[in-house]
Amino acid sequence: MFNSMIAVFRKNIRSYILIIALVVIWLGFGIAQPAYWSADHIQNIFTQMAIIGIMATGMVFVIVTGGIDLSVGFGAGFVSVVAAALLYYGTIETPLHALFPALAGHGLEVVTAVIVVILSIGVGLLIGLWQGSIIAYLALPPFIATLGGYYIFKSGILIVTGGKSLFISANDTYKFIAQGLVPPVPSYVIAIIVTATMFLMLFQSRSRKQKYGIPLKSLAWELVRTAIFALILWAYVLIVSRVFEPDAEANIKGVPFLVLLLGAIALVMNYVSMNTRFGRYAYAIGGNREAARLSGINIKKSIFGIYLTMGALVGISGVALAAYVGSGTTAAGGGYELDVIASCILGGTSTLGGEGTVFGAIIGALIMQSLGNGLQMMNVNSNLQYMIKGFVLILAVWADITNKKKKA
Amino acid sequence: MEQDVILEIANVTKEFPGVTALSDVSIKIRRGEIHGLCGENGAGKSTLMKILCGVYPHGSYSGSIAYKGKVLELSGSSIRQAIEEGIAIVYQELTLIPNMTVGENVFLGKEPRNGPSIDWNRLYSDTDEVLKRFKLPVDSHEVVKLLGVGQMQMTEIAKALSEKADVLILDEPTSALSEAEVDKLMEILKTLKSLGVTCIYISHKLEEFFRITDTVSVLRDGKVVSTAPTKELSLEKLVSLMVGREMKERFPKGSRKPGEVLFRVEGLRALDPNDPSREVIKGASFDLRKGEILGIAGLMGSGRTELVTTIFGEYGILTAGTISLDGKEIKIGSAREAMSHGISLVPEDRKRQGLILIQTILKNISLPNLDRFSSFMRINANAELAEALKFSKSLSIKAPSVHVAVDSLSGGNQQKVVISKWLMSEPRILILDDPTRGIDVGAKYEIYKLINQLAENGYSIIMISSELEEVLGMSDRVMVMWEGRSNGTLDIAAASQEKVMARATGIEIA
Repeated sequence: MFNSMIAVFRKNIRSYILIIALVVIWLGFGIAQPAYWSADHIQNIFTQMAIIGIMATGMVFVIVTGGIDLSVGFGAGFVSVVAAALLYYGTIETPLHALFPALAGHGLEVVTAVIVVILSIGVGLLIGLWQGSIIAYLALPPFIATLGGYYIFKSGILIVTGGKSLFISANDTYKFIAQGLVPPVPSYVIAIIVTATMFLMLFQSRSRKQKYGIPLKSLAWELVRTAIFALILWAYVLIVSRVFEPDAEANIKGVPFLVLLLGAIALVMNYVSMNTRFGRYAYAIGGNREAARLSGINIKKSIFGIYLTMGALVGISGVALAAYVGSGTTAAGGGYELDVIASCILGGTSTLGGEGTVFGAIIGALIMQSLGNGLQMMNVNSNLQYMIKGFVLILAVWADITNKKKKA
Repeated sequence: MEQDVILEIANVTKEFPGVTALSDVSIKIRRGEIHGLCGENGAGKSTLMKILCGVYPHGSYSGSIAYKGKVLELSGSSIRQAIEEGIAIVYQELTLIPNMTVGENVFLGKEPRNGPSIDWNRLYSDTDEVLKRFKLPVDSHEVVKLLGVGQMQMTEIAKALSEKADVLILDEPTSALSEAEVDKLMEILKTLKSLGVTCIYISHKLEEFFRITDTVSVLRDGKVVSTAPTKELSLEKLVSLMVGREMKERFPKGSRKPGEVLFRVEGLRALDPNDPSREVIKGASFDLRKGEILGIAGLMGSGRTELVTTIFGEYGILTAGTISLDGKEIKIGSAREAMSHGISLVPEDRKRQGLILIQTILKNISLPNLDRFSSFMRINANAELAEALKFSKSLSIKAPSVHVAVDSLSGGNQQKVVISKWLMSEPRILILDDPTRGIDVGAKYEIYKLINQLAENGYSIIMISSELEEVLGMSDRVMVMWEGRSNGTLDIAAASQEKVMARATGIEIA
């Protein structure tokens, strides 16, 4: 049985090569700098990668269709300063209090935060609507349409902020989105639900396959794989809940809300990419647009939907960004677009379109963050860090290309 | 006699991991002859050509190749080496750069220079000289993308001949050419022969060997099964040599009785969507009965493909005419609408239009049919797989599983994937645009059998074909296109190659 598992693993090595790379990075930095493995760092690293990760789940779709979105950085930045401005100037809070005098204190704060979040995501959707329309229906090349967006949103940020930082210190509920922790007990409950669902889905899928007379993969392998994922999940939850640090103070215990958000979005987007028409059509369009068109796929509608989704994710990221930074700044989101694109590419998304996975993009984002944090903790001259990241990206893509060539 | 041999391939064996592509191949090619090379896909033709032009270097195969009496030792570092030796190849897929002129393409990589800059005058005058010497009717200043396929082919030939080429290899040069262009190419080959150029001619169209070659070698499963003077061969003999079994008939007989009229097109006129000042369909009418195979014949450029893609809602801008199904007029504005009326189209170019090459057989087959497997958002992956397995089995697609990418399949199997994809959509009318293009003889026969079977099962089929024999061998009736209009429909009993040609060339007008 063990041998057959090894055989299955060998066959799937390509899909696990990224994870192996990640493990190598973690082991290397962990040995060189034990703090790398500390609960503090593990808690932080997933939070730090979340905003890039959330946008990467949408960027995968964009790149898979053969497109690109250069505007996501400043797009998210623009959303973040809109959110910050709404909070800073009390645009929502003041009239709300005037209309409902009973609403005050904590209640007012919560309602304000909810309204700001909804409006900000709405701004993200408008961005998606705009870009989706001009790319899908006016047939502008995505590179150009979103390069335009890059400048437009950059300007938008400057207009909204008026050149100064807008602090949102007053609303702690809003800041919870990026800075809050879900306490240990609810974290455990969520982890239990996720674990149970994973195993349930495994058996359900096997029994359904049996019904259709489709040959099954080795049960042992599928169980081990699911168990490994469950183990990683639990290790993370227990570490950040500080189970191994009994002296830790309560206010540092728990799973960051932002990580939970990233997890949920990644699961949904991964599902969409594999199990829905929306996802399938994206891969078909990227793989061969002409064949997709002749197969009766409404290409314009699909492309529009993809940029609209990207817009929604930009909205969510913008909301998180404002909460993370605690203010709306004039340079908000600048350069994020390249990190997002690099994460996708590192995660195996082909710039030629047609290939790429949401899971890969998340791992790609994690690799970038792991590398950056490690270099920082090792006190590598910060001027060198970008260079190292650049070489890693080139090396990874080169390895992928040679690997594919060998297979062909 | 021996000094007459320019190229002697002796006991060449080439192995890839797990496969022997060539096994003990020996062929002598005489100076100045046109030597045909035929065989099914995968017989080893391409491998042999790749050895000759140095893609597989000396030492990667066993056996030897003598060229002009010396052992040919190509290092494989660049195909320039073969060209310098005087061996040039014109590939099946055109390798020209569309935005450059003919002259620029001919001298690509070897531009004449005047100091650091390109000597344009010499480049064009040299091109003109090559074109003139080999009687190639192409303008050296024309941009390649504006040329017809035939002229592109000539440009390729000019490119190959622009240096001193003693041996010219043509790999399926006619696969994209119209009959008239093929005639032109044959003329050019004769000119080349008279100028002493030796040609190795590879083709899937067997008739061409009898028109042009002096000798034909047949490859099967990596072995040479015959090398004989063309005049000692016949079409039947060639086919049986290729497939290794007697094939009494190239077209299987079907037993079908077409029913009443199902689909009718009347007076259709349409404009080119990319250039609305140009009318591409200038009046097309035909009807299609239930369970019938209607062939559409016509020369390249006669508007056959334009007509069916317009009917399918994906090409021309309709200006006049009606399309009716079951006696009711219908409007089709997109592939999706066509599918909703039960019309499916297997497009002309399976790689560019029919398949997503990097995706699996499964995903290709189910692509137009995902609505059927989806409830709300979710695709029922199991139902999808079960259905795809059914089609891959019933059409006997040869592949390790439905989870392999289609680009690893042979042409015939790829075509079966495209057909499966459209059969799964349960059409009433299946339009096949040149379904056997670039497929070897054995696989063609299987496709023919499949088409017959479909018609017997009540599908109405419209089949475009570039090969006259095929269209005559398969159809119940043949509609002939000429310059964008339908030039009559002939009953198969009354049709002959000559009659179809007369209609296709406008000598006879309906």
